[in-house]
Amino acid sequence: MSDESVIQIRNLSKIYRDFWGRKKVQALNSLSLDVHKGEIFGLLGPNGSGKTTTLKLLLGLLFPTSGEITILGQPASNVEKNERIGYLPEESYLYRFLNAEETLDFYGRLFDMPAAERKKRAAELIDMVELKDASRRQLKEYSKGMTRRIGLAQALINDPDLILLDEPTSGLDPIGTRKMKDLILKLRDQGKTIVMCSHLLADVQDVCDRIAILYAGELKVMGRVDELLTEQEETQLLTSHLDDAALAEIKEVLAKHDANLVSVKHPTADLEELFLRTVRESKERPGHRHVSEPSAVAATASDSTKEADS
Amino acid sequence: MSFDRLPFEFLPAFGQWLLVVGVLSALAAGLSLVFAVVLHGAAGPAVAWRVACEGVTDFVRMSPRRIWALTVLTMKESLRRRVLLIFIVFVVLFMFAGWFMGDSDMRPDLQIRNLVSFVLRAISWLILPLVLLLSCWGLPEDIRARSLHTVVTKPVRRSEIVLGRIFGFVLVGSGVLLAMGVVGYVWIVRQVPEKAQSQLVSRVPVLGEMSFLDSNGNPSNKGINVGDMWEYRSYIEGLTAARAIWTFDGVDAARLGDKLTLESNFEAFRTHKGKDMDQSLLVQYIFVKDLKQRIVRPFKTSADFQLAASHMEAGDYAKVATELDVIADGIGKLKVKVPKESRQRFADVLEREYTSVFEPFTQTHSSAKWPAEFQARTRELVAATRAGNQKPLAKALRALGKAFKSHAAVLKKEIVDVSVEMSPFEIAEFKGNKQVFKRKLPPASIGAPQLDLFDDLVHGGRLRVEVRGLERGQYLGMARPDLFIRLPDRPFLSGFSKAILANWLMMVLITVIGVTASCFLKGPIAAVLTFSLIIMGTVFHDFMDRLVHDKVPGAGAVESVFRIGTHKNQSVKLDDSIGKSIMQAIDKPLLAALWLVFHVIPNFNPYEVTGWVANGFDVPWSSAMMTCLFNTLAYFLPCSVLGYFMLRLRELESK
Repeated sequence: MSDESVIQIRNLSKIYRDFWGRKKVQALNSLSLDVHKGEIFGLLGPNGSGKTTTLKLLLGLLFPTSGEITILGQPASNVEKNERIGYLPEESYLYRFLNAEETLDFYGRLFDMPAAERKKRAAELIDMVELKDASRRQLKEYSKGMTRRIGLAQALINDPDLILLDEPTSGLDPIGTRKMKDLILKLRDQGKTIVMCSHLLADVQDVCDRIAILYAGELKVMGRVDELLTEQEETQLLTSHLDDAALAEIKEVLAKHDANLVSVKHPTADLEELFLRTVRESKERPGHRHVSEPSAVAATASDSTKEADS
Repeated sequence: MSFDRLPFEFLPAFGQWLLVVGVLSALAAGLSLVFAVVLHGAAGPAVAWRVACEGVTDFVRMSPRRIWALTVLTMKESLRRRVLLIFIVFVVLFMFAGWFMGDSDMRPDLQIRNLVSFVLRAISWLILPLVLLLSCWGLPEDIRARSLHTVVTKPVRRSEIVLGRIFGFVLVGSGVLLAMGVVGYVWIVRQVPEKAQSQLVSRVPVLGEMSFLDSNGNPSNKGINVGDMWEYRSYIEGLTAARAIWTFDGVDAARLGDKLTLESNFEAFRTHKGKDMDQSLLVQYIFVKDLKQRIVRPFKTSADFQLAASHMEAGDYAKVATELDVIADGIGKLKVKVPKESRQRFADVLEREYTSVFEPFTQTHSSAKWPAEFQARTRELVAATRAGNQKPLAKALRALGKAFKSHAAVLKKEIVDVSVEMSPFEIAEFKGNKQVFKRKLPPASIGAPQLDLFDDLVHGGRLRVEVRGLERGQYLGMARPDLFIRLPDRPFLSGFSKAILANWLMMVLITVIGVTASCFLKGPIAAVLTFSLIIMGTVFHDFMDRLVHDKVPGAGAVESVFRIGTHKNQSVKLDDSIGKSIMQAIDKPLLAALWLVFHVIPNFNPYEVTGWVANGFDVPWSSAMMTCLFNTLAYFLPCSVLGYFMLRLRELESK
């Protein structure tokens, strides 16, 4: 990551108006931020906070009411900037009557790519998003996850320097989510700049270098994720094989230094970690099943019999 | 359709197009500036200028590959929406149409007319709604489904989207139209009975310019009206000096093949009733080479030249020179200019007639100096007459007189009138009368020399044919297309394919308008707008034409309201008053606005060429196909620009 700004937003405001020009809603209010080259930047916020509006303003799908946007050194209204941008919309707004190969070929043509290069790149991307078996099916037959994956492939068809992802993990199963996150990190490692907006906080926390939190169209917080999440007032110790005597000794030391012990417990994995581990183990040990406790099973069976009799 | 279309003239049409596009561009620029100032304040003009510059850039830097990608996408979209079902409807229609259309008792030409009309109308009624709906719904559906949003995040210019859509729909429509054309052609050829197959051709007419001589032999622009409200045909009275005169250009043996075929379609108006009703009327053609009349004609336009004209008619060219000198002396002494109108009329006729007489002589008598000298003197006199300055005008008149005097001998030999009266024939009403004349014409009397039609009666490719009726008290009705030279026939496919081409050009125009409308309107509204334009451009165009060209009395909106209120119809002259002046002053800008609207609404009438093909004619390039072609092209560029700006200034994601 360097300090070179790929996106510069200055005092950006957007007001949605009705047909008569009357103000309906102020979606953004004096937003200013920079996105640096080679970083993953997350835009967070509740629904209606202005995340997607910001992305659409960056892409020229909306016109700002006031303020300035410079993206890759050019104004947002400049079409030529799109040569180096990839965009994955919130829903994959693609032509449903095309199949995956036709879709990538079409978007490749829009980048003026020669036929041979288009073909090669499309094959690589279809492989990457694991849609090889479905590459000849029309998109209207795709599941939501498959549509997201082909959407991602089209966003990468031009090998962009800047990738804008709107809710990239929306609609994906946990495995797909993990792969998407791995891919985002891989793209960052290749030197690309990524801006993603999401309200799935775990996803953002996992991949983003910096984040900005918007609320009601205003920027509330911005900074590095690790810095923002660090609680300076608390200290966490993580050890292995700690017995009760050692624990008592530690408590004494803490008391001696006037420190207040908040809690002592075993660490837990997050749900995503558990899910992925279960899937991994299931693949390694096919046939292994979860069996409930006998007493719990008996109780459930007894309840069922009573309900049937009545 | 018009029964007598004039040849398409590119330069005046182009000038008109530039004027309309210029006025519209100026209006659009003014409105844009106002909106920009309202929205952006002091920075408004700069914003408007930037958008305009970006617009130019977006058109200059378009990528053919991207346009083709969007074209292919549009085609795939249309095909996968099963537009080809329309072709199945067409085929089913033709599987059973033959059951209801066959009538072996009907005249062969009428059978052909019915079959051809049915096929061409079926094609246009199926294909045009199809492209209208496709073109109007394509972009709005794309915007609704937001698939366009992904496209515009690529380096795609809005101009490329507009053109890609237009080309895509045009290609889909072209494919369907071509298939329908092939099926329709095969169907017609199979349906026409064996005995009528010989009439399944495309006749090629050469139309001439028409004028009249009245019953006393005086020139006239039209003949007699026998009481028809529809004054399409003018009538000449039989067995009088009345003539209908056609002047045909481009007449030569290489083109016509050593014979002249004249085809006529005159109408009779009988003043005798009874058994005469069943008799045909006798008509006679007179072929005329009128070089002397052409030489004299300009000098008959002014009373001052009457004496010179009479000397010319008598062939006394020395006296012509003297008389022109006298006139020149008189002009030199005038204190005021000769009125512009009479100068203009004289110059126009002089230029037309003298050029038509002397220019061919420069080809046939290339070694002689006199044709070139007369051409030079004519040019000088035309220029001096138009300028109107006395001295140069007098000098040019004297120079022409001198040329007449010095070449009197050769003029007497070459500048002569020749006329040959052909054998009378009976006309058959309501169907073509075909007369074939061999190149060597029969002698007018015993011992008279035999004349060659092309060598002795045609000068510079021009042939004058006079028509007279030979029945006393009976009238012959004629319009310009009622007499024509029939060139060797072309295959029926020639006319039929041009009719399909005209349909295609109309389809392109509708697509262009539909796509443009869909750039700023939703699908149903765009379809209604396009359909309304088609209706207005078909049904109301002629009326608007008459309104804006001041051919409808009392046509101003305010004046009309006043007339309605005061129960004064259009033919009642209003009293000169301040009120009338105010009304007309208000009506003027309204009519100017209507002029603009009239030119913005496309004229769909030229695309209706079914009448030609159904009646066994080829469709002429000059008066039909060129009009269609340039009409479509005239809308393509402005509509593409309008569509581009509408799409460019539209917030696709606006809520």
